[in-house]
Amino acid sequence: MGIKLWFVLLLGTHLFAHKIEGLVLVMTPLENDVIAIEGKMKGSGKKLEDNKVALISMIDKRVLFEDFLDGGKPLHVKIPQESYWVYMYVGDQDVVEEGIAPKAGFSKMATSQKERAYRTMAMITLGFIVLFFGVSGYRIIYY
Amino acid sequence: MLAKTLFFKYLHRSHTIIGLIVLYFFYMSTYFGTLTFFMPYLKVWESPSRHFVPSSEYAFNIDATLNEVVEKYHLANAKSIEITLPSFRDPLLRLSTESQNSLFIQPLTNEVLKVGREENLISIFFNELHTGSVIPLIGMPLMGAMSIGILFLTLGGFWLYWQKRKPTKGVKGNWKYTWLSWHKITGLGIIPYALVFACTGAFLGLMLSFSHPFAWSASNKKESNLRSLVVPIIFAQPKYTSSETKASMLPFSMLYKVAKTEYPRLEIVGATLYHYGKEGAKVRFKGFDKDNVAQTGRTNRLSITLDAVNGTVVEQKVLENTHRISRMLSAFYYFHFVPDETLGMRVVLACFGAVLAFCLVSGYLLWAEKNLHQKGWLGDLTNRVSIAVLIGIIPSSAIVPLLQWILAFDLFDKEIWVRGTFYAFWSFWLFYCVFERSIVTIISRMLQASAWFLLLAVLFHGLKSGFFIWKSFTLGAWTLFYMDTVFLVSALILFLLAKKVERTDLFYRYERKGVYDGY
Repeated sequence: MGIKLWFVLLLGTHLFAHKIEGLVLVMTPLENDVIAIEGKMKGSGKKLEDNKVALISMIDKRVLFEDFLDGGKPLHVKIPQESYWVYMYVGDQDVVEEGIAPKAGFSKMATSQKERAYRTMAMITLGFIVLFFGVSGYRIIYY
Repeated sequence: MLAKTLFFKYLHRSHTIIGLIVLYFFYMSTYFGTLTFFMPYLKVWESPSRHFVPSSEYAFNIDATLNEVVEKYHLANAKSIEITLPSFRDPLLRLSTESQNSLFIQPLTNEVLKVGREENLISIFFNELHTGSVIPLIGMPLMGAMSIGILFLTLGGFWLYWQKRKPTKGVKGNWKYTWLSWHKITGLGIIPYALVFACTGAFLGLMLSFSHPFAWSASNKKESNLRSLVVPIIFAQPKYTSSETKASMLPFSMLYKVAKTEYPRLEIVGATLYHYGKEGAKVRFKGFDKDNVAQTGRTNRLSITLDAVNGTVVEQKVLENTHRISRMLSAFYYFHFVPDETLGMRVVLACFGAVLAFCLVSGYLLWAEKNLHQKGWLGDLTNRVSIAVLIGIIPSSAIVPLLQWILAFDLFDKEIWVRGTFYAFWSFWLFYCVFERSIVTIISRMLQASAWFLLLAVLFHGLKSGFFIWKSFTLGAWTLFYMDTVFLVSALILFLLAKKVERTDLFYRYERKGVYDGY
């Protein structure tokens, strides 16, 4: 999911509505199936503070874990036993990443859907564009 | 004399060539920009949490809820809490802090809503199509450049009209003559509109996106976004000192009343709470001046700051104290975004937008006339591609509100499905334009498809939200009722147009030669 934050509401000002801001959610695996989660500004690398982070199950959309980033320190979380998304809330938007699997693998797995919609629709679109070129080329050459 | 004629000829030629290049991009920008005028209403229509009947004048009372919410959602540690009051833009009350997702409070029940992923899907998408930022990196500067193209076309077109000595050749009833006169009438009519919107649009598109290198070098390669560099300076937040001692605050409604009586000209749109719940807490009420809406837009809000403990006025920012440049900048933004205007002004501007779109189309048709009489496949193919772009955009955008209501709201990648369908459907029409022989069939099918999508969008909106058009009428949920009505009326107009296209000679003329008949 592209993390293009539209209408980044810095204190609710919609001033430069025509602007893209980049944020990244960084997950670093540590020992004993623990991950460190932090949020960063893409450009400056500045760490985000006090944002809410949630781990949400891919299987039944249950909230597995919820906490706030504390003063820019990475948040240490034990990796859950089922496939999950990591949500980070920023302003009106949220940043979502698929979570890293524990060393022994998930006990309950959901198929990754990260790129599913994008792939499907891109294939259909490209298909029609190829058809357009094919048909018009055929008509121009063979008549 | 010769030089003048030559100049006229060159200008005429470049008007045609630049016009053809700018046409496609700027048509998109105009089409979606015109829809964007109704964004506040579309936002209400597209999100189920806004489906309620707001009380008169969007009244609210959060006295009892505020403390509870601040406590529960960890807002007290934030430096400031921004409150956006319910208005025609959004009937919900919003609490936001720098780092967290905004909380939305239903003003009638004071309940904190989970708005999830329903937030502004259609309106943001249409706005991105309008600004061109759907094309990564080059989209916005491209649209900015196209706006400069439009400035050239507007001024050059006016000069061409002004300097034309000879009366236009051609007989009445000739299509070329018809298109030329319509192109002139509409073109002259929208000069002020086009100048204002293209000027501001060029500024927003080109300047803001080309500012990256400057920001990059000025910040020693740390930051490429000019906004994050200048916002802390030009929109500096006041620094109020506070202590950790807790104090009881005056009720919000009381502070609101004090602000209203102390500064009666201020139309309050929001408030900022500083150090809420502690000693030295301040509340700043922001808004615009009722008599100077343009000068007190989003970049130059007026405000009055009260002490939240005892209600005394700490600071007041009045129009006369703001810098002239701030007022000009505010007016500049106002002309592009019309932030505080309600329905009347928006309808007028949207009509101008429609005329501008028609002006662009008539310019294309003027050029296409010439190609009808020339041999070769290029003219025919250009006509077909133009139909796919200029008319195909209508069904492709009409499918978006339908999908918004058909797809489940908790689908995590809903946005990508909706956007992807838009592109896939649009490319389908591109293919269909060369696949189907008859131009008339293509156009009438496009219009019919759009009409059906709009009808189904209204139907599914009713089924899923429970707010059928008659129910919103009887309850008095006017925004929903008007949006549904607009969709239905547009669907009816599209049906009639589709019928009319089949009965008009004009469109059959484009079928005489075609990719089917050989060249």
